[in-house]
Amino acid sequence: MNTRFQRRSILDRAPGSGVPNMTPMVDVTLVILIFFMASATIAGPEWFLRAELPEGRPTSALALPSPVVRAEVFTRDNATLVRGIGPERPIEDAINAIAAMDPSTADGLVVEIQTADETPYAEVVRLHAALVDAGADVRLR
Amino acid sequence: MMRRSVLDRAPAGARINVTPMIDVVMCLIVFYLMVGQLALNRAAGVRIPQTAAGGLAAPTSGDPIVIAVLPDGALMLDGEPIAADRLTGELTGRTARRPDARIEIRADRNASYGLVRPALTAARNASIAEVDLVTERGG
Repeated sequence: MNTRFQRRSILDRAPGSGVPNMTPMVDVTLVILIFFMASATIAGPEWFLRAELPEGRPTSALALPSPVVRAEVFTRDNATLVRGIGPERPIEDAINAIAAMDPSTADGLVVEIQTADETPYAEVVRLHAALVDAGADVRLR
Repeated sequence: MMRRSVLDRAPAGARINVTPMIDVVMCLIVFYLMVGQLALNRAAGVRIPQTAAGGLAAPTSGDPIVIAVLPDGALMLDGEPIAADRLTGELTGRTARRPDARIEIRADRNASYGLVRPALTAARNASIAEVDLVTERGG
């Protein structure tokens, strides 16, 4: 009988010793380890801030139903200001005020953000994140 | 003295075991495929803004459609540069093919809002109701 195609156990493959050959497993394990380390660095921890994009022209503040707040973000003298969420004030103060708000106040609230072109995007995103964290829904105009 | 090759040194009948090499090569191929896919979704040259909190910690569905806004206002759609006036058409086509796809906007932290606005306007014109602004955890 031709024994050329006979099945061999894993122990037979290690020449002489009778011990399984660990080298391929160690190779693969190291490569997988490097893969996870590299992909964790590339992917990084991220947030996804949901924003609604309402169609049509901005709604006038008077026509808005009560739970909708219209906020304007703009810059003046190199400072980013917010109007509409309380009095006109620096964006940092507005973010702090939102963070200090009672969660039930903002829950279900819709904030429509109207932003001037020259405003730094990163500042608008910080305001957006604070609102989402407080439980509000955000619309971008 | 004559140099001897690896095969010459091996005992008679011995063969080079290529199994570990194939294992590693296969792992590397999988690695590059996956990292390539990740990198495609993270446009080169975009440093997304940092936020301390807020938003979803992980995507809620599969592959998103990614719009990147570079610091100079240049736009990229799924890793390919695209002109602002073509973005609406492209988005309309892609969302028709993949109606459940999320739209991610990865805009540079140094961009002004005016540079991001064309991406939002194009999404709105393509009848997209919601987008996800991607930020880095921290700040």
